Amino acid sequence: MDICHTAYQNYPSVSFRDPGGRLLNMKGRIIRVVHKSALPDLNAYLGSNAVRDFTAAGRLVNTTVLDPIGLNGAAEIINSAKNLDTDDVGMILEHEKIRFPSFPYEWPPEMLYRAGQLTIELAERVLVDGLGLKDATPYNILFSGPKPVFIDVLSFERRDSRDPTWLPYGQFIRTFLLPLLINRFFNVSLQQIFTSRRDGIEPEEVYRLCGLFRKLRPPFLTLVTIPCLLAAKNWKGESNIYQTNASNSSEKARFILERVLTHLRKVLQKVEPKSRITSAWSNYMSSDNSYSEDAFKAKGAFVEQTIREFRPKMVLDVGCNHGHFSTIAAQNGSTVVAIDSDARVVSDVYNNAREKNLNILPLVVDLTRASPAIGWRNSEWPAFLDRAIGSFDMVFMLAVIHHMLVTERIPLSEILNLAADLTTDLLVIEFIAPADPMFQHLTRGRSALHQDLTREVFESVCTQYFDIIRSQQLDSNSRRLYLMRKKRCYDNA
Amino acid sequence: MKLTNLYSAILEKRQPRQISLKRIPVIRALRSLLGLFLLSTTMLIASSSNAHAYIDPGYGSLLWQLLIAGFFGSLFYTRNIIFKVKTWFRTRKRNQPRTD
Repeated sequence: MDICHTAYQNYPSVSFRDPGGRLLNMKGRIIRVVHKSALPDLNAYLGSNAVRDFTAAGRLVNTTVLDPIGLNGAAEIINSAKNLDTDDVGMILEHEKIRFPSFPYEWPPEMLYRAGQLTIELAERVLVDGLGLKDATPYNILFSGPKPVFIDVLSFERRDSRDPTWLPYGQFIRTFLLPLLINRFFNVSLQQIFTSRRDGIEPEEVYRLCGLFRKLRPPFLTLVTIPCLLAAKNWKGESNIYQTNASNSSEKARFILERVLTHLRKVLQKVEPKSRITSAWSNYMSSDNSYSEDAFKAKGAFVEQTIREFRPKMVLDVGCNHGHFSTIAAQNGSTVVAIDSDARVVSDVYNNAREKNLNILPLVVDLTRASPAIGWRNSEWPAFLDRAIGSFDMVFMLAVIHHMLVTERIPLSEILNLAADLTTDLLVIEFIAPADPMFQHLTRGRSALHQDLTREVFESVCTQYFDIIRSQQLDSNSRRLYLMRKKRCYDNA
Repeated sequence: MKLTNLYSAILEKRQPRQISLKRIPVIRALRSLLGLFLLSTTMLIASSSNAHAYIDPGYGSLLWQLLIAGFFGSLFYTRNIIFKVKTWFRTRKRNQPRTD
């Protein structure tokens, strides 16, 4: 049974830009209503062999056709959906639900890279079946653990076999290649780009960032400089450039398209994110951390024992760092969402999860300023907390609350209030006393603000929301692990 | 960096890692010349422009794609010859004894 909350309760109509259909969330089921105009393309999609292969491999979302009159409840859907023109309904589809939706402004750059690879691969492989992609945007893709899944079924259309142009070329550059480019060369985070812009960035904006020599070197030369110079000559009334100019033979058109897509794939490889940059937290696990080897092993053993005893289905690891404890949870069968505010370490978690095929979804989210709701009327893409609350049966807050207390100055009762909302059942939390060296390091001399934070105070705040099941001291007196269960009465309040 | 590669390859101070068509210094020099030629042509076209207040976004990318498509279209007619040339170079590389 899917314990995922219908986080979309307030967002019933999830997509509306495509005239071919609408996506609805009906009591946890993802339903797509397809209009009659889009039926021929959809039938071509459903009959395509390449599509079947990708769906079987889990890279394209699973789709079932619902019988409109029959027993799947589709009739109820048509009747209950708002603003639905029932005469125009051609077909109703149901999609498999992706456990935890996430969006490009939360992804580490490696995930955007993989999403781009999947888009190009799909565009190339469906050419055989006479299909093409209408658009190329990272919002067409959701991640199931470390694996990208293409979800926008209506993006596929039957292609004019003599048309050698790939129309989403510009969008692919704006939303995949240019963000990856400025992330790699100028260290601009994806969060900065995608929170404010739905359609990525224009070459002109990147052009202004570059110095003279950078503009002339590949990949900037072909991605940024040349399109900018070509666009500068504004051809008034030359809108016939947008009309498709068919070539002589379909074979030639296919040849050109294949070469253009291969060219895009090679450019994508050139902007692949490389793990060169170190951040403040990337050396945490290896060298200057505050745990002795014994204490670290004891912490791992505590977490592993907890996982094995309670077998949680969905785990949220807050402040995951290199994902050591997320890995323990994933290896024991849980689906894990691991968040951290530092993109560098989240990239490492992703690479690790991908290599070892672990069901971990790593996201760049600062829990004290989580991703907001974005889009038209702030309701197209739900906020992180709206997606997360009620979706997890175990939450880890290991070696993270002192950051929230000291650096972000969030009161302890607020932190535990949020933890009680995030989890439906259990919480594993680490208490770090003000005497701890890392705590002292964070306070930067203002330790007087936190001198009241004793273990007793911590426990008394916790027991407002949780019952403490067990606790364990780590190493010195300054760090202690707790396993807590949410009080039933808190839910009903 | 490309000039130093050419220089050291000529003086045989360093063996090239892999003998492939792209790494032959002459071909690399030609490619950078091609890039320079492309850039100068586009700058020539662009220099005759008038700055307008509204610039159509995405226009430059589409035009660039059409140019690339045109280039590949011309390759379509010569693809057999290019394939034969590449295969010839590859069999030549295989027949040469490796100097490791």
